[in-house]
This record gives sequence, C-alpha cells and structure tokens, in this order.
Amino acid sequence: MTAVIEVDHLTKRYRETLALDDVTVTFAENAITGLLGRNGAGKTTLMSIITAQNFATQGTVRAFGAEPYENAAVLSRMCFVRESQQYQDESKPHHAFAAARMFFANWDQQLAESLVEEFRLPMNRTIKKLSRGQLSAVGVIIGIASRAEITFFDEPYLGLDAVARQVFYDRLLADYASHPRTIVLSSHLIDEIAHLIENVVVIDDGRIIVDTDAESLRGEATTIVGERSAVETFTLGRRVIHTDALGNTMAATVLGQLTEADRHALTQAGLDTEPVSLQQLVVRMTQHAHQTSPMNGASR
Amino acid sequence: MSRVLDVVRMHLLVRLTFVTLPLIILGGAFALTLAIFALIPSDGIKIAGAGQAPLWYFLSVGVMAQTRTFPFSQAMSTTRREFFLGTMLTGLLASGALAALFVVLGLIEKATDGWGMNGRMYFIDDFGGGNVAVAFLAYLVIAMLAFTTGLTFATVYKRFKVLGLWAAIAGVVVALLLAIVAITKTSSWPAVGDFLIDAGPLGLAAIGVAVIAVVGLADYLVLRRTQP
Repeated sequence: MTAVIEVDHLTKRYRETLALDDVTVTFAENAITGLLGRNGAGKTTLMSIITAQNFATQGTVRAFGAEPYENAAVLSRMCFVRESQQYQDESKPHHAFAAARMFFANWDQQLAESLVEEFRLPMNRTIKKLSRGQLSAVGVIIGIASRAEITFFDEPYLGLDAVARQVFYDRLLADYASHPRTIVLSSHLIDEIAHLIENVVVIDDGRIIVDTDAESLRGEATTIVGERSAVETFTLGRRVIHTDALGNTMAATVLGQLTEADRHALTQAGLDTEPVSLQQLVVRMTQHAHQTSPMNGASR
Repeated sequence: MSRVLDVVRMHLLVRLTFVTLPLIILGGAFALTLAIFALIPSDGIKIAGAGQAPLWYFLSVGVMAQTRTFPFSQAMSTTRREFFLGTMLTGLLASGALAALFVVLGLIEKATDGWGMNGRMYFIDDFGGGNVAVAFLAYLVIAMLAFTTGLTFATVYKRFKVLGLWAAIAGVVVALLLAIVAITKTSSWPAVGDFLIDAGPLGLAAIGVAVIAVVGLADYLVLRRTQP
C-alpha cells in the first residue's frame, strides 16, 4: 500500500477537550477508506486538519508528501465538503457547481448534470431554501464530480432518503471504478457502506482504535451462541467484547480469528457461531474501547 | 495567479454583494436626494451627504465578502492567500467601478448645474480639485478603505468571535483618542491642518492607500489562522 496521506502524532486540543489524541494513521492511495466513529469522536476534526481548514495543536500532516497548509499544489488536488458546509448567500446549486468547475481541474460537468437529475436537485432554488437532503446532495455532487485525487465525504448522507443514499453509493462506486482515486468516507451508517470500503479506520474519543483492511476485520470477531455454561467455558481467556444473556442462553462476541481447533471445540460443545457485522463490531469496540487494547495494523 | 482570478470570479458568481446591492444603494440614495432637493424651496446651493452612501456601504460589502464566501472558498480548496488576494482584487474592481460611476454622475451634476436645482451630492470638484482623475482616485480610495476595513473586522470576528471584535474596535478607538490627546497636548492642531492642506488630494489619497495596505495586511495575518 502506498500512503497518500500521512498523519503523524496529531493532537488537537480545544480549550477543555482533547479532540484528537496523538493520532498516527495513514490513508492508502486509490482506495476507499471508511472513517468510522461516534459523533464527536474526532472524524471531522481529523479531515479538516488534513485539508488545512483547521489547525493542529501538535503533530504533522502530509498529503502527496507535502504539508497541505497554504499549499495550492496539494490543496487543489483535494476536495472536502463538510456535512455543515456553508455556501455563498443567495447562491443556487448551479453557482456552487460553477465555482467547483473553476477550482477542480478534473471536474466533470456531464457527471454533475446526471447526478443533479438523479438526485432530483432543484437547480433554481437558493441553497438556503433546500431541504437537508437536497443540501447533502449538493455536497455529494461536488465531491463526486470534482474527481479530486483525494476526496473526503463527511457524513454525506444526512437527510437523504434510502433511495438517494443508494444512488450516492452506486454512483460513487461506479465512478471510483472508472476513475480510481483516494476516498475517505466518514460515516456512522456502517452497514450501509460496509461493502464499499476497502480499509477501516475507527476513531473513538480522539484515538485510533482500529486501522486495518476491511477484509481482515470481517473475521476478526465472532459471536458464540449456546448454553450459558458452555459459552462461558469456551470464552474463558478470550477477549470478549460483548455478551447477551437470555435465561440459560448466552451470546458472547469474541475477538480474534477462530482456528480449526476452535471450530472443532465449538461443535463438540454444541455451540453455534454467528458472523459479526462491521457495524456490530465497531459498536462493540467503541463501547469497550477503554477496556480492550487497540488492534492497530492487525494483519496488515 | 489563475486561482486568484478564480476567487474573483467566485465572488462575482452571485452578483448580490458586489453588484446588485451597491447599485440599489446608489440608485436609492440618488433618487432620495433628488427628491429632497426638489422639496427645498431655496435657490441657494443645496448640499446632501447621502449621495456618498454607496462609498460607505462598501464597509458591509467587505463584511459580506468575508462572511459569505470564505467558508465556501475553503470547500473549493483555495489557500487563504489566494482567497485574500482574490478578495482584495474583487474589492478593488468594484471600488473602481463605483468610482467611475461617481465621476460620471459628478460630471453630470456639474454640467446640469446641480441637477437643475443647484444641488450637490457628488462634490466632484471638492474631491478632485477640478481634476477628474484625482476625483476618481479619491472615490476609489474611500470605497476601498471602507471595503478593507469591513473585510478585516469580519475576519477578526470570524477568528476571535465577539470579544475579539470588540477588542479590535476598542483598540482602534483608543489609538485614535490617544492620537487626538497627543495632538492637543502638544498644541499641534495647526501643524496637522497645514500638513493635510499641504498634502492635497493626491497626498491624502496616498495616505489612504497606506492605511489600506496596513489594514489589508492585518486582515491577511488574521486570516492565515482563521477556520471556515
């Protein structure tokens, strides 16, 4: 993997809170990375410092091997449309797209127009009169049609209905396939984007708790279901990140790949296994981030 | 450089701030002043300051250029330097256009003997000492000074919030008061008066340009660490 963004010991302190706590992470070139975490975990802060919209308290950021701050050569190759992006007063979507066309060298006008149609975006209404979903569509269209070499999407789907979200995922994936580039997708609708993302970075309380490829993360946890005592015996000494019990039945989610011997033992004990979705895994890990140790770079 | 020009084009995409509103103010002030001239039942010279409103209105043009466009410019991945240069250039173009309009209106005012009513609102001779180019420069400097001041205070507000804004305003007021006190204490008012008279319209314009440069530099220094 070639890293196109390198974040090194990045700390961001606001007056009383630590938004980013000594974050070191890289983002792979020409891949889609999911930046996952709860609200307030530090996702937006991280992306806004990488794009030089915000400033680090400590640490460094490099993109394309150089510092982005006041660096037109780097910034012009990146696109970051915030979830709460402000547009010019009285501007209409076509104004915003006209500006994006000026500033992003790879802008594809036809693509933008077809997206406008697919999102049914009213072009002659001022942006401040758009609904939340239509506002998100403006940002999504700028993000996709700009075809910047590094594109950040910050919770891009707010207010979009299920159909529009699917349009976003499909069009993003299709355009990414024909024009590979680096995409960082921040989200808490993890299951929805699970099939899109190749890498997973999970941030919790300003710290990176997972940084790995999505494939290896998928087998990283399993839920063991069965009779309580059997489950307890099997999970003894393993890293259990969640348990549910109902009567004499218990479900325990354990971290770590299961070995052949494990599977044999499970069959012997009459226990079942259930796969753990990315969303469940992230939820459990961010709930237990302070108890479990980080799994940075697992099987990278 | 082309990205600086793109910032200019971005500012002008929505014409409201730089074109529509100033023209409305200009037209409104003009019509209102003419109406007042017509209502004054005297044949003497009628003087009205309202005609200058568009010049001072550039203060809020500067404010809007910052508050309405800076956050969006960041989404367009411009550097703060590009935004600053492009914004100052846009202000200069708009100030120039307004100054040209003032010169034309001032010449009409002069030719029509004060709109046929002996009225004065553009004071072209007072500003230019009879020289059209000097009058143009004077209008330009005043509009640009207003624009740069508005821009800078808006940037201070964006970066340091309300407290910072009031601190900046208080700082300017205190500095002016100190200057006045110092001039009074040293009984230098006649000297100051002589200096300003000696400077003439061109000298005053040069002082205006220097102030614009200082205020503009302050804006840039504050903007460098301002978040959208």
